[in-house]
Amino acid sequence: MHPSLDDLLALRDGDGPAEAARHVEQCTQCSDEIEELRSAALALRALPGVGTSRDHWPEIRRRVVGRRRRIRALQIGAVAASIIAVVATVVTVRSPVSTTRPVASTADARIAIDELAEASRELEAVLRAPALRRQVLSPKRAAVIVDLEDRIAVLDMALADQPTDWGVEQNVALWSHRVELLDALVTTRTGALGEEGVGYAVFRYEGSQP
Amino acid sequence: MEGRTGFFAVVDEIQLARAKRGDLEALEGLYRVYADPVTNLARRICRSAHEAEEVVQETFMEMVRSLRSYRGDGAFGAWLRRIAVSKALTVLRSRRRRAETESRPAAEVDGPAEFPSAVDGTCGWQKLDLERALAVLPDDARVVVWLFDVEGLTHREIAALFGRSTSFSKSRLSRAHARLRELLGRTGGFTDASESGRSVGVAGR
Repeated sequence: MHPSLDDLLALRDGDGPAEAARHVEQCTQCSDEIEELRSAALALRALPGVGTSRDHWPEIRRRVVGRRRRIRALQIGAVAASIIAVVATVVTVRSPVSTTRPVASTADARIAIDELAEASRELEAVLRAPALRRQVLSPKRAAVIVDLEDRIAVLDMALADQPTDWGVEQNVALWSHRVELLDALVTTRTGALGEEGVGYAVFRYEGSQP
Repeated sequence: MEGRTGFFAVVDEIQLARAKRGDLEALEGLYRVYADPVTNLARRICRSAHEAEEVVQETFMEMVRSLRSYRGDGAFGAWLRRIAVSKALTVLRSRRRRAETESRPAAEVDGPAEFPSAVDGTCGWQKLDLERALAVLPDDARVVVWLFDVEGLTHREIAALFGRSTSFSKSRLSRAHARLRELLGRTGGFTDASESGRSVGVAGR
């Protein structure tokens, strides 16, 4: 007796009962049937794709924005408030790439800001390296990177729009925090590169790009 | 079995992480990558272009709502595809309910099936004929044969999407192939015994 169509389909897909497989080995008619089933699947896969006839994104975006606007505003506000609250209490510059001395005068503070801005630029240059842009990341590492990038973006908003009564000390603290976040970002990014990442890590401290 | 459609495009993890946090630009990027595969799948399942467009929109709304629950333990495309199939099956069920209420065949509720234009032959199968044959299959059989033979889902995955057993998926696959062969007048067609309750055998033997 010939195997059932269920069994022939299973055999086509590399499965099916052993008894049916033995039968098919000796039965031309059944092996032809399996070939026919295979060609049917190939023909189905070869049918042309049907793309979308219109752009749904504007409508989806409108619905998403409507639902999220209030929540998102609250989230950003909370993050910004916490960063500003921390920064406002800091009066000492603490940076892995810059000075650890207290800011003794306005002139010192301006020098510290220049150094921190330069450190920021160097770290940003590392982050623009093609090898870092091409890397494959784990979901967990990607989430950390996005979190750091968002914190830096919020910090940049604070730097661009400081309260008028802030002194240079607060400005130094903001810049210092920015360098720390960039440093963490470079560490996270280069850590995903393995051996190649070590070169970038060295560059951060010695200034010679691999 | 790996799928063979556009659902398996490589997604940038940073873009995915940003989308999870609700970044609209990243979400749009995902929409741009997957709009066509979702549309194609929805058209194959629902047949009607109008219903397929509805499925596309609801699929991406669900993606936005549920993205945080995606843990990255499987391909993102496979995760999104499950949502799309689920949304399309909901449309089919709704159509069936409407048909029952109006006491007419489900296929009539939304008008005739719409075919993409295709005339080239593949492996001896005429594409246009195949399109037409596929379109007149019963809904369950059409969905199962598409998900199994084209999208590469397993019987277990298909059974889970339908809320049925793997036997359901296997029997609908058999039924679809038997019916396709019959509709296309291919030689050596099968007897679809899943409806008669006896073992399925190769016709004429």
